[in-house]
This record gives sequence, structure tokens and C-alpha cells, in this order.
Amino acid sequence: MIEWKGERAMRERNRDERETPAGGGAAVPAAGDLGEQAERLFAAGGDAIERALSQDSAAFLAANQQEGGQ
Amino acid sequence: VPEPRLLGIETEYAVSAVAAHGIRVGQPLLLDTLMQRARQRLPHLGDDHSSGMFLANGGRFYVDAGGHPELTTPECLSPTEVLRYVRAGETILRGLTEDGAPLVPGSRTSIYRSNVDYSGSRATWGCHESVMHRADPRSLPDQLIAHLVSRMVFTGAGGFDNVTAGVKFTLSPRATHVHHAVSGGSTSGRGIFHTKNESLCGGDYHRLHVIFGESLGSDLGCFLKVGTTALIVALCEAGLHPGDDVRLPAPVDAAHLFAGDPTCTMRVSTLSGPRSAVSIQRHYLEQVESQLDKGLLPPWAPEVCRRWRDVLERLEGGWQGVATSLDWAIKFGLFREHVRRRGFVWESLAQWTAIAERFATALAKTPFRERPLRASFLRRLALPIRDEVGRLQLQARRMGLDWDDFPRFLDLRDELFEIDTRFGELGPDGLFTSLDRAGVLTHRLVDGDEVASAVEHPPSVGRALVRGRLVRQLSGHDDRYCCDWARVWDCETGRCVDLTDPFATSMAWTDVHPTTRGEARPDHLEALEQHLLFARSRVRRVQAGRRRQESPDDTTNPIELSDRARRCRMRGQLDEAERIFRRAMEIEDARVAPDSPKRPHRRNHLAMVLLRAGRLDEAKTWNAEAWCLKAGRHDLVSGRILFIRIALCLLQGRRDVALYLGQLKTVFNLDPLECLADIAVTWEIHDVLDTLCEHLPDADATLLVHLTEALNDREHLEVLETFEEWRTVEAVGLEVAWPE
Repeated sequence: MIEWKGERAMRERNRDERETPAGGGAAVPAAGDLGEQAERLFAAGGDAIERALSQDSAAFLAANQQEGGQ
Repeated sequence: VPEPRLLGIETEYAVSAVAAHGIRVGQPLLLDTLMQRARQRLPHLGDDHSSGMFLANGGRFYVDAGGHPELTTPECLSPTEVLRYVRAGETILRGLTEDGAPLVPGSRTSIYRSNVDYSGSRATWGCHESVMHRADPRSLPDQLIAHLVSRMVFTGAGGFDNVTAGVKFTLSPRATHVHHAVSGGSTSGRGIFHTKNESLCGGDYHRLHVIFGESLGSDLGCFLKVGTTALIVALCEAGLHPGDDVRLPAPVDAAHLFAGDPTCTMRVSTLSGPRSAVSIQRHYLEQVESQLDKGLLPPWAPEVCRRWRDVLERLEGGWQGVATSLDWAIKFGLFREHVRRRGFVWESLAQWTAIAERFATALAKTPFRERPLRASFLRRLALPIRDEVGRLQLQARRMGLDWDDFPRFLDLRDELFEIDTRFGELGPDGLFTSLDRAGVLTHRLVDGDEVASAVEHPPSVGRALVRGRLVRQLSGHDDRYCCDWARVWDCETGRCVDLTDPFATSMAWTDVHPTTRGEARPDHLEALEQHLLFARSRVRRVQAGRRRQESPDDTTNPIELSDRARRCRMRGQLDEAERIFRRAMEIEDARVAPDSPKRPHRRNHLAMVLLRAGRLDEAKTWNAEAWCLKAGRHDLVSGRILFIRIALCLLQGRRDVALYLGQLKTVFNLDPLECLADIAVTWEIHDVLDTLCEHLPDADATLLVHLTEALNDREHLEVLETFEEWRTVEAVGLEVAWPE
């Protein structure tokens, strides 16, 4: 049987990181390079996203399922 | 002075309502209630062509294909006016859902300005532009396609490819759904250039209908989307050929390439050599600017060119230059930042996507083929593809990825999809709105007062002014008056206010339908045409009234009902699924013979709903009744009934399933194994399997997954032989009665 080592623990860690954002991601341009406006956007955006995200994105997506239109 | 040019936008929205415990309100009920509230609150006249309505601002509101509320702006004179009415439409929709009691008691309704679904349905819906013109429609594809493909650098909504199993950022989510350069299809087989040419007015006007575009939060993006396209059409109308030098040999490929390139630097072949999207746009801009003082272009052209040039210059310096002003770039920055916060490197998403796509490809050959790839289901999904997962682990290691991060990647994927959806949520909770309110965006071109005015009042020029005034004047007499784009009808007298001239100003009621502009017809033909138009209008009116009165359950077709119930079951709306199934059975039982194969099929289906709801005893009763009804007429459905029996026994902790396994073996030996109930031969029950996997030990769940596969494809019986409980069980006659 295939199992993902510590799957649950990882999901919990993932949630915990919302409260304490992890560092890293060297390929992302430094905020300073993007100018003051972008820096303010990222700061405000990060906060807004953490507030807006549900605890279960998969459930959110399922609850908002749409049919195709034009 | 050039003739005024009428423009507009139709926007389809996503709408959903969720009640307590995350239970989703049925879409028919929600939409019905939304339209009912609109009829109560908004001055309107009924739409002659649908159950929707025309509004006092001259626009139209109705429910379009796929259950999307759609707001169409009135005919506008400039891109700024279009923008104002798009925002007015959003205000109207918000008012319907936010002001007063919830639309559906106990639930919260959300409306999203978005164009793709991320739940796994791969659905898309549209935001279409209309440009009135007098150019030869046959000349337009060659001149416009390169523009439509490259304009996404400022018109793209940004987001993700909603077809891939991984994470692929795209400037234009609709690009994924475009497969042809030119097409008349709008719900499938979509093209970059849409050939629809329904003028909705008289005279020699045409209407360019652009379906390759998205709904935007950015005023600047929306303004440029409408303005640049209309200016290029104006050049075509003047007999110029603005697109000749940049024609694309492979426009669909170019669209896909540009969509996946946030650097906006990748080049594609054009007739004048390789060019980036920005370079193609530069070409069009120069073509338009060269005509600015020639009297061909509308008065708003210089402003469009100024903003167009500014945006292109910024884009030449990289996406960061528009990171606070254009939808796709705002999202790109936010997504990258979010990925970093979650401890991933943006560039690694492409590698994880390769893994996820291989995983999904393997899954496509299993009963989980329709199941979205989610971290919470990963272990279960891997059950039928153990070998492939082993190979993927090796591949991940070779890429330098930690396989244990795969579930985290899938969680991140869902979060990014949620962020994109919430970005376009209308109202104060929407991400775009909250960022705008925080003053960190630089996109705004219209203010709140202008929008508030556009909610109430029509544009000051053109037929929309007449229509809007008549709607306000006649609203409340919906039973007598109705409307379409070209006329307002008095259904009692047969007279109409004729708006076939798009610049009509007269509110006079007329008995005779005027001829189209410039045409002269004999009187008797005019009278006949008027008579036919009126008769058709009456018929439509009656039909629309019937549609309005219809409730979602009004159909008495058990197959339709059953299909609806199945969809409810798959979405987890089990109460609704049960109710509709019972209704379907009641109707069908009265119509079909006692030995109809439909009867056991439906009963077993109801048993599945009850199984999912955890009502195992009731499920067993219906399942047993289904089995009794099969007596002597066994087919594929017999196998499905036995499968559910085995599942129910295992869920109740009973291990004595040898009888049912043995009978299932006998069913598999039937040759041919017929499908008497005229049903789909592939059994889509991933939701039921989810429930089973959740509650059963892995060994049992795995066996059931493989049994489902074998029921769908008998070649899979070989795999079943690897399971001891299957291999060792003896075939049992189907006449052997089940224990009480």
C-alpha cells in the first residue's frame, strides 16, 4: 500500500504556515525590485488572502462548481 | 465627423449559494430566486426572447447557458461608457444578493467575476464584446485575429489553466478553451474570431461579437479591451488593413504561447517576421495613431491611444510595470508571493505539474477518471495505479523534488484556485475589491457617482435611451409590454416602438413596422411583416411566461430527473438527490411495465444515495428490492446491484460476502453481458468510491475499486485475480436467494 509519509502532519504544517509565513523562494523577485507600489500590493494582498482563504480550498471549489456557459 | 460607434459588453457571472455545514443550494432554486427578486426590485420589462428582462438603464439581465446570470450593457458610445455600465451591472447584481434577506434562507450567495471553474468540471463561460460596424465582415478575421491573440497582454484576466492537473499560470484562462482561429461556436469548438454577425438592428450595420476575452476588475484593462478593438474595427471599416503585416500563420498556437508567457517576450511568426505580443500590439497602435488626424476615428480615440501606448511601454519593462493596474499582472504578483509564503519555489510548479499530469493520465484509466486530483484523496486515488505511482516517485526524486511534498503541492494548487476565484468575488469580500479599497491598485477610470448614475439611467445617445425610458415608464405592466433589442412591444394592441435604427430617438407607438433603412417595400409586405412580428412576439410572450412559472422540478421526464439527482449525489447534495430520485421513480413506475429494467436500475441508484448518506439499512432494503426485480433478466445492472450489496455489507462490518462475490462472478461470465436498461455503460461513481475508501480498510476499498473497474471494462478481470478473496470464491447461481 502506498502511503505518503506524514501526510496529515504535512497538511497541518501547511495550515500552520498561514500564521507564520515561511521564507525561501529564491526565484521570486525581491519586493524592493518591484517598486513601492508593488510592495504595498503584496503586503496588503498577503493579508487579504489569508483572511479570505477558507480552511478547505477543495471544499470551497466544489461548493462553487459551475457549469459551462458561452 | 465619423458616425458614432455603438459598443457593449455581455458578462456571464458565476453564482453559488452555500448553506450551513457547507451544503450547496441547488442552482435552479438559486437562479429562480435571483430572477424573482430582480423582477420584484428592478424596474423592467420582460424580455421577448427569454425569461429575463430589460432594465431601466437600457441593459438586459437574464440567465444564460449553463445557469450563469448575464448582464448586458446598453448600447454605449465610448469605452468609458461601456466600463461605467459594466460596473453598474455588478452593482445591480450585488444589490440583489446583498441588500435585505438572503436570497435563499439560511444561505449566503456569492457572485464571481470569473470565467473558469476550478472544481474539476473544466467549465468556462464568457464575457463578450459587441462592436457595431459597417465593414465587410469577411475582411475582419485577417485583420483582427493577431490583435485578439496579442491583446491579452493587457486584456487577460490572469489565472490558471483549468484543464491541467497541475498549476499553469495563464494570462488568459479562456485561451485554454480556444481551439480554432475562426469558428461560429460559442459553447464548444470556440474560435479566436467568432463569426456570429447578428446585428440586432436594421440598416447595413454589422455587429462584431468577440468571445475571446475575459471579465476584468481593472478599469484600465476593460477600457483598453473595448477601445483598442473598436479602433481597429474602425480602420477596417475605412478600408484599411491594419493587420496585414502581423498576420499569424498559427494563431491558436500563438494564443497558447502568449497565454503562458508572463514575460510577454516570447515571439511567434508573423508575415513581417517573429514578433512578441507587445510588438504586435505596437504595430496596431501605430496603425491607429497614423489615422488620428484623418477624421476616421471617434473622439475618444486619442485617449485610448495614450493609455494603450503607456501600457505597452510599461510591459516592455516587464510585468512589474503593470503589477498594480492590470488583472493578470496583479494576480501574477500575488500568486508568486503566496507560493513563496507556502515554502515553494514558483519555478518548481512546472515540475510538480509534470508529475501531476502523469498521475492524472494514469487515473484516467480507472474509475476515478472524473475525480479531481486532491491531496485529501491522494492515497485512495493511488490505489488502482500503484505501479505508476512508484515510477512517479522515482521521477520526482530525479527532479530533485521530495515526493512527500506532492500532497502539499496539491493543497497549494487548490489554494491558488480559490484565490483566483475569490479575486473576482463581487462585494466587499472580493480580493480585488478589498485591494482596491486599500488603495494599492492603480487602475480606476470611473468613479462611484458615475456608476450609480448608470445603474438608474440609460446612455444619453442612441436607442438605449428610448428603451430605458420606456422600461421605466411601463414597468409594472409586464403582462402587457415586452421588449427586445430592436422593439418595445404592446402585446395588447400589437403596436410597437421601433428601435431597429440603433440611433432611434422616437418613442412613438406605431402600427406598421417600418422598413429597414434605405429599403422601400410595398405596403402589403410591410403590413404582413408587422403582423408576423407581432404574432411571433405573442407566442414568445406566452412561452416566456410559462418558463417563468416553471419550477426546477417541473419536468416529468424520469430520465431528466434521474440525471439531475445523479448530479446532486455527486456534488454531495444527498437530501436533494434522494428527493428527486424518489420523484423520478414515482413517475416512472406509473409509466413503465412491472418488469421494466429501469425499475431495478433506479432503486439501486437510490441505494447509492442512501449509502453515501450513511443510511445503510434503508440502502440495503432498496438494493434488495432492486435485486428481486432483476429476477431472470440479469445484465450489467445486476453486477452493479451486487457491487452495492457487497459494499453495504462491508460498511456494516460484515465479512460474509462470498455469496454476492460468487454471484458477481457469474454475472461476469454472462455472455453477452447486456445492458438492458438503456443506460450509460460506464459507471461513474467516484463519489461513492470516495465514501467507501473513507470508511473501509484499504484492502476492502482496493477490492471495490477494482471491481468497479471490471464492471466498466471486463479486461480488468485479470487484475481482480490478484485478490485472494476474489480468486478463491466460487461462482454462485443468480437464482440463489439472498438471506433476509
